[in-house]
Amino acid sequence: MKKILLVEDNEMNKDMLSRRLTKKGYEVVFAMDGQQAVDNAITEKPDVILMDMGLPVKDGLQATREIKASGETKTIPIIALTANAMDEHRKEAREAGCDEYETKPVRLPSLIEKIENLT
Amino acid sequence: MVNYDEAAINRYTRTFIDLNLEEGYIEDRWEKNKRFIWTIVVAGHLLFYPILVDDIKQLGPGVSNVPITYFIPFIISFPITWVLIAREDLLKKHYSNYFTYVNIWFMINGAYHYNLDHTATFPPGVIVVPLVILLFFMLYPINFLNSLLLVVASSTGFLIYLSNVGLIENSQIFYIFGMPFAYGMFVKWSNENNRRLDYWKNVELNLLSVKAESASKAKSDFLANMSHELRTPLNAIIGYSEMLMEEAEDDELPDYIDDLRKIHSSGNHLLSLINDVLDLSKIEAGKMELFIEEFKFSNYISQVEATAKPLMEKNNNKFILENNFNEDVLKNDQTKLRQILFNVISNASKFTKKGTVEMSINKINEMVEFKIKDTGIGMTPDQIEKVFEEFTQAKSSTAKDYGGTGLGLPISKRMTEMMGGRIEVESKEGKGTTFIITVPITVEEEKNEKDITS
Repeated sequence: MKKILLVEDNEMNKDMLSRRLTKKGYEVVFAMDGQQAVDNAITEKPDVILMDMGLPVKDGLQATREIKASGETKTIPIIALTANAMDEHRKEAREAGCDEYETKPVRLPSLIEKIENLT
Repeated sequence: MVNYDEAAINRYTRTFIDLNLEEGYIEDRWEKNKRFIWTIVVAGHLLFYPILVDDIKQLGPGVSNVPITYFIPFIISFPITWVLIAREDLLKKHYSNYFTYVNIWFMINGAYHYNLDHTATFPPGVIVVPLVILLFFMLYPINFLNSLLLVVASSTGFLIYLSNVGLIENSQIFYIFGMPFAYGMFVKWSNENNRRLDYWKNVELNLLSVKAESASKAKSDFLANMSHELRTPLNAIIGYSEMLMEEAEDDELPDYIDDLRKIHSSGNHLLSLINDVLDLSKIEAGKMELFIEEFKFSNYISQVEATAKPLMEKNNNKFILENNFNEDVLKNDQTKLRQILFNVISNASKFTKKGTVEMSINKINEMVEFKIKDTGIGMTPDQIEKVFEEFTQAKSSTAKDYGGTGLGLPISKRMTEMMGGRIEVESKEGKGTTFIITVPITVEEEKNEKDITS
């Protein structure tokens, strides 16, 4: 069973996405902010990280950079999730080290395809 | 895009704010000074009549003795003065030039009288004329018109001096120094005032352009933030309804599925409207950018086909794909290209019932051409003309019958142009419509940057 680290501070989005992913047969673990994401990436060793960009404490871009910079976690693929459709955000996410980008509202089939391609 | 000197605007704006002045300052300024200016014009004008009479008396016993050239200043200035008195707008614009003219006239007249008078002992004419010129330079801000008149005035004065070497009575010193000086002071004041008016006019214009700029920026920022805020709750609506649909399917509750689908599709529809408005605001703000990357064309087009087919079901249309394009790699912004194709295909399917939508792909020179042909209701020549204009749909009833924002095609057109391509339409009412989208196989990065800023 593939393990997904879902980094999301919004309760509703977290609940929705995790329930759907669990139903599709993934194991979902959580992080509520950027710092937790960095910590949990080391402790949980997930197969893939779904990273929201607008996070408290440490934003998604910063967390991504740290995860990609650390030797232990740099191989974990990261998919950026954000409600912001602006192109510059996509560019920023790519530059920070995200492997893929998914715009919210998440289209589950497309997200799953991306997860499967990366893992 | 409006280009402006930001430093200059900051400077202007700061001055504007520091002095706590409102817009319409020029108008206020004029309102405050116009009584004074008017008084000077009318009083100065009335002053001409005794001078005229005095001159005629000095020149001889009858008007016929006075040379016609002597009346030229009066012939010119009197109608001008009457017009200025009658027309406030002209006075407001020209009073300082008018005062310059009148002042020069006084100087020539003064020099003329000085030289006419044979009893004057001091100062001699040879000194007076250069003195008057010097005084003129001291008092007037020199521009081309003033310099020209100055040359005319000084040479005239000098000629008069040569023909009438003589002396002056004490009372006539007034003509030479007093009047020009008094008038000169006033002209200096009014010229400065004019310059000040020009300055504030510039401030006003600059401020207006700054306001327009920032208003448009504020608008696009607002739209960007707004659509972000709108997306967040939509997220939950679309996501939960989709999730419940899946659950209802698993639990075999068909009654719910239908209603949930309505929520889900309305949510998606709202989302696409928000996306269109956001796209357009980005294009308008010059913030739209292309993300050029290489991608496999065969995979890409089968994805497009897979998204196009479900669209056809609603109106019982058939989708036919004819791919004659053999190169496998395209370098372009795949998301935007997909958006353009999807837009045109979904339009074709929306306006066609029980027909076909055919997409043929061909290579033409270094371009790839997508031809999307439907057998739908078509368009009249008038409608074709407006099809790429923002916020216009063929008929106002179109939006009601077929939905949509009317923004899809204008956005597609702008994006195609950014890629260095074009989009064309051929249509006949009742016979169907063909859209031809042509984009380069390889989109150059520099090119699109240049396109954005232009």
